Amino acid sequence: MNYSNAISNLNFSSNIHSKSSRSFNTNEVKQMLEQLIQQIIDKQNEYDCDKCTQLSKDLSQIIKDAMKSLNYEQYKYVIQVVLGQCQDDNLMMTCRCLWDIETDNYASYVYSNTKIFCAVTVFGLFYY
Amino acid sequence: MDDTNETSFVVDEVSNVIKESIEATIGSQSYQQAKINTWTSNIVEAILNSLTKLNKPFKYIVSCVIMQKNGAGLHTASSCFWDNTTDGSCTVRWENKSMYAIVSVFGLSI
Repeated sequence: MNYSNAISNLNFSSNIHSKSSRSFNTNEVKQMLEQLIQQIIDKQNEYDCDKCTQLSKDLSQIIKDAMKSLNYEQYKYVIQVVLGQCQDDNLMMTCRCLWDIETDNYASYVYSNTKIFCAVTVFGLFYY
Repeated sequence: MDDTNETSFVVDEVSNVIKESIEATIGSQSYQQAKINTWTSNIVEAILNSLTKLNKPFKYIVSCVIMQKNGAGLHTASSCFWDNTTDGSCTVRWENKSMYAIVSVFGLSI
């Protein structure tokens, strides 16, 4: 599926800072994640095993491209997507990091409807 | 690639660390809702402690998902924007009769 329209439809409020070296802004990234994920997952009405396999991979690539377009200088990114079926089950996801708290940060967003839930975490790590 | 293991991510070494931590924490347990918070925290912290002791110039991200076995589907995917020669990741999928655990470790060189 072609998601390039989804990226071009995003509204970024901080494009004027794209040339300066700014630190990872959690709110900005979270806003971007909300816009992207709502656009893409709203189109899925049912949980389909094969489609969701491909969707999770596509989503991680799309978010990686969107992060690159945010133009943070000297940052490496790790994007993790967890996509699942909404049943009565329980799921717990925990994360710990060893990093530099002055420069590194993360942003996460969880989306769910009656059929599918999606948890996305983006980590930004400064490269010295 | 073995002789550059001082500055590149060694998957086998990290994979062993992950498996040992999972076995030590939930190896003999059955799924209990009240405990999964503690279990995920313990697994992740034990792995991070072991990785720190390796004394490599890396930043680490460790994430753990524990899910009850009830037939629901789960997909995880990750993508990374980094230096392929030095950075790497390792994901271990573990299960017993009542639950699944998926642990991912990402190592990024400084």
